[in-house]
Amino acid sequence: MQLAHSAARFGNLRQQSKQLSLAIVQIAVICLFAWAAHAVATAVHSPIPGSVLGLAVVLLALALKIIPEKAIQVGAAWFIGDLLLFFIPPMISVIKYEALLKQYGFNILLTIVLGVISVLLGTGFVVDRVFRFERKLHLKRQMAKHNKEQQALKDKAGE
Amino acid sequence: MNQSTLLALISLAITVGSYYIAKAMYKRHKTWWLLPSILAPVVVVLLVVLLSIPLPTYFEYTHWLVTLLAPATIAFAVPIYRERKLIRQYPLTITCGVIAGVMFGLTSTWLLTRVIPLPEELVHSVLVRSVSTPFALQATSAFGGVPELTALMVMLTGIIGMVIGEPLMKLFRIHTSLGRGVALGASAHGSGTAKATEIGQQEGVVASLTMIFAGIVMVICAPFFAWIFS
Repeated sequence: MQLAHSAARFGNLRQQSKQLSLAIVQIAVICLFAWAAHAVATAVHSPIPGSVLGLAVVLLALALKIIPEKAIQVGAAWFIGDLLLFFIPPMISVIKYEALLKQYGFNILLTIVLGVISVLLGTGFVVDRVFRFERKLHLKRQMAKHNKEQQALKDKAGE
Repeated sequence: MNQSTLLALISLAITVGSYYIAKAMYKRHKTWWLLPSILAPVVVVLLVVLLSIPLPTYFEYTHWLVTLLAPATIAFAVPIYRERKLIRQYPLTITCGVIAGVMFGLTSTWLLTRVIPLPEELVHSVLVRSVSTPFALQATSAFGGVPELTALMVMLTGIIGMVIGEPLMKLFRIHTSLGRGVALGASAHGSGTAKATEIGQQEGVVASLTMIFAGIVMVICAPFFAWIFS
């Protein structure tokens, strides 16, 4: 019992380390993509930054099945899941702007709170309406398809 | 090893350490002050001040973390690809949502800065606040914003959106799953997406898509938007 338990734990550990090395390799691959995209964007003086170009290229490669989703899935999940870690350093510079933030703290919060409310409600209202419309459109299309099929069946029976 | 290198290494360790500790703590207790987006920066700022680490020393190694925002942007290709079915099903809703989100974000902030007095550098840094940080940092230079202040404004936006989003949508009767998801993703990017995921699976997916597309639109159109809103 004890043995089985520790064996399972060991197996689990092996699985975990395998998962970890897979993640590290995929993270390295994505970093390589980013570096290449940046190099190309700089070389051709692209007005669109390399990271966004890279996103488009990788998306295209996924859609055309040049890169299988599995090949970058774990690495991408880490980048997105731990996104916050990458921008803690710029936030530490608040120390540099202490006086500014102390003086305007209330105005900043007021601007952001009112701004968030406007975006949330404005976008919510628009999307609620458009979504209801698009859902109805789908329903109509489905009904039309259904009716057509029924008609075809009836015609066949009539023959 | 000289003292400066040691302090730089300690800076990196406390940054990564406090982030993962905060993340683990929030997983156990979902209290707002344990949110990694609040707790981690606060702890790091306190430690940097207490240990009197000079800012250039702090950034010596930690700036490598910021460079990871570029590959993180590329990683967004995976969720777009994975949710292609939803995009194909509701192209109109998602397109309208993204455009509405970006436009409401820019115009509301711009109008508010006309009324509420703020110094120049803050006005320029706050405009892109409604999109996710990797995109905001790319776009802010077109508006003449300061990257560090922009990062802070984006973060505050996320926290506020996460807190007031759900009750506000209940109050104003935004009921549909896509309505709620898009609104949260457009107004509070990553934090909004986390909140949307708590509400429901489809809400979370559509919030993350909105956040990514809004970021891309903001970055690509930044020079144009900067020309209008200046």
